Amino acid sequence: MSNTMEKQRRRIKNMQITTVVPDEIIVEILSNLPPKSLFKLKSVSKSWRSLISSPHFVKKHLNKQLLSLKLMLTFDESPPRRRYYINSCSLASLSHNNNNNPYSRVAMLEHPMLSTPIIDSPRLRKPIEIHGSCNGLILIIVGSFMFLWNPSTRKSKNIPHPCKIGDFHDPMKITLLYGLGYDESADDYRVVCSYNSNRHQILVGPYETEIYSLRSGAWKKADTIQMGFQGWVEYSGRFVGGRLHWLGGRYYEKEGGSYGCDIVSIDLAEGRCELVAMPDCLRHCHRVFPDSLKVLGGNLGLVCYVDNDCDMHIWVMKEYGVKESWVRVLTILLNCGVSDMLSNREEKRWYIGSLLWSPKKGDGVLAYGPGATNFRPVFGPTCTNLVFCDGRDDELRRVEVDLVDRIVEANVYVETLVSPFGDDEAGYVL
Amino acid sequence: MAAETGTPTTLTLKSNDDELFSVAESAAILSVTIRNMVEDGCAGGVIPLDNVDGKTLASVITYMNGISAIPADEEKKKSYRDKFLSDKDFETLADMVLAANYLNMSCLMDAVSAKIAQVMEKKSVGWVRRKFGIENDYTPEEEAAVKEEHKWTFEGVETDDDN
Repeated sequence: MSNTMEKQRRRIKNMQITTVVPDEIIVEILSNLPPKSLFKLKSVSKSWRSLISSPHFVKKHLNKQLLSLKLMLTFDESPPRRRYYINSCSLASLSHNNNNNPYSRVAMLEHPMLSTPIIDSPRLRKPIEIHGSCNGLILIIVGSFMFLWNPSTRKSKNIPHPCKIGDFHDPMKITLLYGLGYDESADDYRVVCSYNSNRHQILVGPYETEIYSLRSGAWKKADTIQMGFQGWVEYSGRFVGGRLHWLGGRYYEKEGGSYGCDIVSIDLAEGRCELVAMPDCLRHCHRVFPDSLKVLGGNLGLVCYVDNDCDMHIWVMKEYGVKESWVRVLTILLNCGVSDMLSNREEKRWYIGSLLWSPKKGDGVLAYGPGATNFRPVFGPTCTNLVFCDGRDDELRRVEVDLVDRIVEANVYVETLVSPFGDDEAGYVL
Repeated sequence: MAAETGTPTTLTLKSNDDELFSVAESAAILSVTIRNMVEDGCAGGVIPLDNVDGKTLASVITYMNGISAIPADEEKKKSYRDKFLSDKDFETLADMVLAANYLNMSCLMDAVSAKIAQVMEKKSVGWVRRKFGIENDYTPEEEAAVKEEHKWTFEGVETDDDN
């Protein structure tokens, strides 16, 4: 075949492709792309722009991306700059057992605080706190500033803080609980904020609770939460089954007194509050510490340390609300995996940053430490290693990373087109 | 039945440019379209596949044979798919995604869509328009406005060329 004929054939073939590739196949192809590429492709044509912006496509894309988990690490930069910054990398890159530095494909995220200079000035330095991650949206709080942020589209929305009590950053005067979730019945993202201003009853309650609806753009009063917690409470709610959950410490007076824990939940549709069913062995487990409530494969999970202080058991509530369905699914032997890098016993308590129970076997658990915790106030030595456990052999694999700065928090998110402004923006057509 | 006689049943598939292919029934029924024809008793003679050309059909059959020879091990199947698609150019992938859609083969469809997306990810807007044969219906002002709105997404995009 001559060169000209070949070219002509190609051209005809290309023409055929144009006329034949139906929209549903375009959708199949495009739903594999990250938001950055999709935003770029909005300039291909008007019809591609409206396809990519349509709520139908945003949902389709979300469902495809739910399995590709990304890890988000918040760092506290060493002096003299001392800024907080956030890095991200794909979780798959950490779990692949190769010789290359698995943490090499890391991107620094443009978080909304970078463009809010007043907060970022060292004098007014406040920690960046991430209090929720749901379908690509992140709830990020710095002082009294609250943002819903999609790191993959770089869009963020400032939400007015509902708590009007003065100086509410002093943890001795007030406790603030936050959470982010999705209410399926209303197809609406919701932020929860609970606060208690009674300095003598900071943990016990009652907690005034308000729920912000992304759809209506307003806060609404919900059930007052009677916590009944003692000693400590986790500040970030975990989202499972349409409800947000907070874990806190308890002291049981009976039988000579013992420490334990409890989980309180609030549903996003009605704002109703209740305690989560747990077997007594967990409720009375005195080796549950802050940052132990996790979401594992869509179920609530709980980390309990074993008496030797360095191994842990992972429990999961397989069937929501059923006390008997809590089962121990994994034991992590921190001792054998990481003992060589721990010099003294004091440092042996590792905190799990993000525990994942991926649908695909092989991806599993991530821990970091020692001593790093998002339980305020933050103390502890600099973390210089990431530790990964793949859940297959219960052994921790050490990821060799030299982290210059201290990890304050680890979170997991997905790259989606979900807008912090709701559907209004998505429906915008040029 | 094939299992009883010991000889696997073979089907004959015909492309839209009249090429004939023999393929084991057990491999061919990965296509729901072909499976339905077999179940409806249409597989006696030659199965005509009007929307697939010979070159693409040959490739699809290679895939059918390859993937059905792998036992139920999702990781091995995935690495076979990755290898199978690794050397295919955009035109071949586009033909395959249309064929996979017509033949109703979801595993191939997902893999080829993902591969096309991977090829597209860093390409310029002009490249995508040419490859998909899309006419630019923006006015220059409108196009500039859309690009300006999402300026940061053009970082790291490959320079325009004819590939």
